[in-house]
Amino acid sequence: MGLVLSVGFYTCFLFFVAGYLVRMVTWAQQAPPRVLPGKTLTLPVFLNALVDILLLRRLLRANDVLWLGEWTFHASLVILFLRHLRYILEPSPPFVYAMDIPARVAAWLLPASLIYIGAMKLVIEKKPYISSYNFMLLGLMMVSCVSGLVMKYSLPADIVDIKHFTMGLVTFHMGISPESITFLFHFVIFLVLLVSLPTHMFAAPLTMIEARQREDDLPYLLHEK
Amino acid sequence: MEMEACARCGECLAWCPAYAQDPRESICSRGKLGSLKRIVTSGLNGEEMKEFLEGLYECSACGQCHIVCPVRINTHELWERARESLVKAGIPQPEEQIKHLTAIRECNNSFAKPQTERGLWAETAWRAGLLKEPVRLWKEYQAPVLYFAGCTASFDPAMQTVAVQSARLLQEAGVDFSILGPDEPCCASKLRRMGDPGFADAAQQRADLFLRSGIGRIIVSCAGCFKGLHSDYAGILPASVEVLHLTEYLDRLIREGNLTPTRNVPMKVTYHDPCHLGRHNQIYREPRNILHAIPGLSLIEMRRHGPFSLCCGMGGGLKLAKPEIQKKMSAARIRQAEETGAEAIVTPCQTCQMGLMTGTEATSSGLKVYHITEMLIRSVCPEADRAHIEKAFTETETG
Repeated sequence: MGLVLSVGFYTCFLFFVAGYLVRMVTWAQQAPPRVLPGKTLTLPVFLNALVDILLLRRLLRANDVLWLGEWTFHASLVILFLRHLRYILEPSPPFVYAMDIPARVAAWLLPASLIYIGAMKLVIEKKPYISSYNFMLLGLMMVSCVSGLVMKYSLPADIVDIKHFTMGLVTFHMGISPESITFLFHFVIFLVLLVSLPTHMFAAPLTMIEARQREDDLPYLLHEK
Repeated sequence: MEMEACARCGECLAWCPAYAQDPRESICSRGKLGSLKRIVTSGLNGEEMKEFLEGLYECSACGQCHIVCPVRINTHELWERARESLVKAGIPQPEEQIKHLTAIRECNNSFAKPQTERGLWAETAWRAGLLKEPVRLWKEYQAPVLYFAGCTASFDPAMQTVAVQSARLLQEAGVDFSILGPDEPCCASKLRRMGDPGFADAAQQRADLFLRSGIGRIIVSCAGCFKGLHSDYAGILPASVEVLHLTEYLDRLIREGNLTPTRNVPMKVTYHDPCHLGRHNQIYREPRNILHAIPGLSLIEMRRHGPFSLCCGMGGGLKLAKPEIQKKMSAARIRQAEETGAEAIVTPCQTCQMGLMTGTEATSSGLKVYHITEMLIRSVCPEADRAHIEKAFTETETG
């Protein structure tokens, strides 16, 4: 099983990395944003864009009800991602330890926000408001959250076995996989998510930076303040 | 990258005024971005391509999707670029749009009329006693300010009122201005809206004309022309040529005490933000300042206003491609205006005015549709109100 999971992991990871490398090259070859010649990204513009990204500021303006769910979801996801770094870093850096309590909260907030987002889109808004692809992602995320919570509170897996296995993956020393069925389930869902991650995770911050740059470079254009 | 940035959240779908009237995925930005991505990667089959093209042109390029997009995809510019790329690839615009664009290219105005008729509104108005003094042509007198009326206010008999009232208000404020008259070109912004590859060259020609003529400040009364000269010409027309929308200029003149609305206009009105003025150029405050300056006039905002203003459907060539959708969109806007209890809807764009009038007809609404100049004229010099102008112009035509 360890070998199967390891091969699965490397395949999915390669697929993920290669996909984004191709995208990065394509994006770099595209026409530059509509800016005046000689203008470059300045620190204030970047910081402004960073706040847009971190706070999902545009969504807050357009739909504050949905924003609450989306921001909670994305913030919880980041916290849980950081906390999960303890499985692939040895020794784990202090910020990973500092994430312990926030991650315990985020582990509950993440599925709660998914339920909230789903309910908002299905109940409050019209049915086609949510795309089938996002339905699939929401489902996968929910299954991942539930399996993670089950592992934490109901059917705990041996954390030492898990770390041994995951460290083996990142150091290319394939080992035995933990025996926990919950872990296997959680891990496989993670692999499926890895290859189906929405492209906006990487492209969206860039378009948000580009939007701020456009505003700064063409102030008299005032496209979207 | 923009195609990859879409989070498929559906926010565009919830706000799109065209999708509200024709709820198909291919109409909203999410659907169009998905199709564009597939065109680049795997391609679309005949039926899918047909649906994509329908969505691409069933769009007023109002920019609402861009405003609500959480990841700020520059959608309205993307649609314009997509239209242009398709035209270059041999997939033309809808037939009615092609006719319109041909008129602009061949006649230098969207009405396919002789350019010699372009400045006639000024002569007629002067002869009818609607102006304080004759409006001079730029080639005879290079005033500090150029008034740019645009095709609609110059040629459309129903909208020439806007040109006359704009000129009269500038005269009332003591502004020294002239017009290009028969030399006034079409701003060519519609070429860009509808994806005509000739836009850049056309814009350069216009910019050269302005520079050659020594024009330093242009006052534009049409929101579409303003978007053209102010935004689309960015990087083409030097910043030394100041382009202002009429409402910006009138607001300034009122604040500086050069123009004083004195007469009472006891009306309850609501204000419609034109997309090209509001969302595309951030002019929200100035027209409202003008309305607030008019004694007796009270302004009630609609549920959707400012950056979230509901488009009347007149932009982006939608009216030409899908007139039935435009009618439904403007009807929806009129219903929003009626919700406020106002007796009239006021807009600073003659194209929106025409679009909204389609809506009042479609809904059999008693709501009046006015251009903002009409409100100001009633307070400053009521002898040049719409009724007087129409009467005078009709008499001139028949006489």
